[in-house]
Amino acid sequence: MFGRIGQRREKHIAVEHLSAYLDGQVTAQERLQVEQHLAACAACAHELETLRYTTQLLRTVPPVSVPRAFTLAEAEVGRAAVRRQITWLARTLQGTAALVAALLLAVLVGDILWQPGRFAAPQPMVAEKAVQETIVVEAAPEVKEETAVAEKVVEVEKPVEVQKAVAATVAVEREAVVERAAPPAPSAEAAIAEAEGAPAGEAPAELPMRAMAVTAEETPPSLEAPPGAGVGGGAVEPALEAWTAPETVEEAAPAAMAESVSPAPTVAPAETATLPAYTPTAVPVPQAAPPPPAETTARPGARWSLTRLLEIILATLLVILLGLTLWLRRWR
Amino acid sequence: MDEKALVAAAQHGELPAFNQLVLQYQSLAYNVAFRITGDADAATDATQDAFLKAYQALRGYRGGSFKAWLLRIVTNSCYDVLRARKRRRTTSLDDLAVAPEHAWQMVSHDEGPEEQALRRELAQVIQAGIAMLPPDQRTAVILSDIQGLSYQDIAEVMGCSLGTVKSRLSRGRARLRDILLQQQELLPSRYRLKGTASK
Repeated sequence: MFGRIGQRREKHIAVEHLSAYLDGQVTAQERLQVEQHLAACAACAHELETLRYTTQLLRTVPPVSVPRAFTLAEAEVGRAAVRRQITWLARTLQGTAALVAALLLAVLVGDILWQPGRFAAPQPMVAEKAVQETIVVEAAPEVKEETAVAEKVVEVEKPVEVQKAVAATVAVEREAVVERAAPPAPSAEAAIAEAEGAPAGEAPAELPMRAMAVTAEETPPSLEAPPGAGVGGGAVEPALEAWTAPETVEEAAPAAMAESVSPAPTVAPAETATLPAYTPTAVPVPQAAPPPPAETTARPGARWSLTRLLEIILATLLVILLGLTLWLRRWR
Repeated sequence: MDEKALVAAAQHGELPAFNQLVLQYQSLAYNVAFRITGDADAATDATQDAFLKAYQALRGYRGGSFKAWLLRIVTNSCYDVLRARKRRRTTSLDDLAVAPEHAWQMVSHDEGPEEQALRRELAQVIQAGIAMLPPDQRTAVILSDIQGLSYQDIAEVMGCSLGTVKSRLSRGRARLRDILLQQQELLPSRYRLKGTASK
């Protein structure tokens, strides 16, 4: 009840108790203590007097008249109910927009963090270059196959030199393509052997069936080879086409038919012996690079496209929700 | 029909019953709103909003003092109106030091014109002092010393304990006393504190 006032040593009654004393909000014991102290302390008596003066002044403040009746009309109550519903809707939309924004952010961050190869160190370049040097001639048709499939263009009459140049640049960037170029050697040999036994004219017609048989057993499904992509042309090209994936097999027949009228030489089976540049390089490669699992190239693309789709959907939803919220706020 | 019956009928959606309660309490609600906001228009808005909110929230009323329950909604509406006005920068607590002349229409017609003028002058000074108090102290002082509510009712209106009411009220009174003592020369002479010179 008692406290110090300023720097003075003597104890005085706290203002809170004096105020309560004025209103009669103290116990009988407290009242006695206050009255005994007030009789002896002029400062506290003055404090009480000024407080009493203030409350008396406040009680003189007259009431003001009401400007109008505040009774409610049915229409007013109805409007208020609608306004309240709109407010609730706006708040719900705001909350949903915040949730969608958080989800979009999480997806974006996840996409950035989990994107393979974005922050990972590049693959060993030395081994890649060594492989590239040894199989650059062989990789040429393979890489060309990749680019041809991607662009949906069947390259039949492209000069070999141009194809090599394209392969050299792309092979550095795509290790997987280089690795995939390795395994077909046995199948290529088998195809060459078959091609040698068959007449040159028959080869294009039989190729689709052979290609399907060989790729189903030995080659990875991702291997694709456009028709007429051989280095030496003629019987070597059919052999390479044996790597062709099932999707491109349909293209192989018409392309092989076109081969007969193309400027690329249709060499007889006997002429394959005069093409040492291709055959020796194709042999040592299979042991160098095992066939990669198909998932490593196929799955990330699918995942990324799904992520992109999700991001687009979330962003669109967020824009719609924010627009609706702003519109409701203005309308309100 | 007594207050309980009116409240019960209003709780069942009978608007005429609620309007009777409005007529019964509108003067108290408007006066509290006027003292808190210090502005006639703001007080009108706050009172109207308060009655609307009260009607919508009436189903949640679980007994107790209806006056305290209603005044709690009124004070909250006053704070909302003050906040909204402050956001729009059309007015602020400092701007409310002196209310417009038209707001001071007293109810009492027993006094002569001179007495009315004196009291109006006094009321303006007091209102200016009230406007300088923090909102919680202002509400406590208005409810206790102008409207004459009990500590228990004030505690219900403000949603706090009796001890908090005592504390807020004493601090508000002490602060207002200091303001009024500093502005003794602005007060009509008959309302000045005798034996105290203006500090």
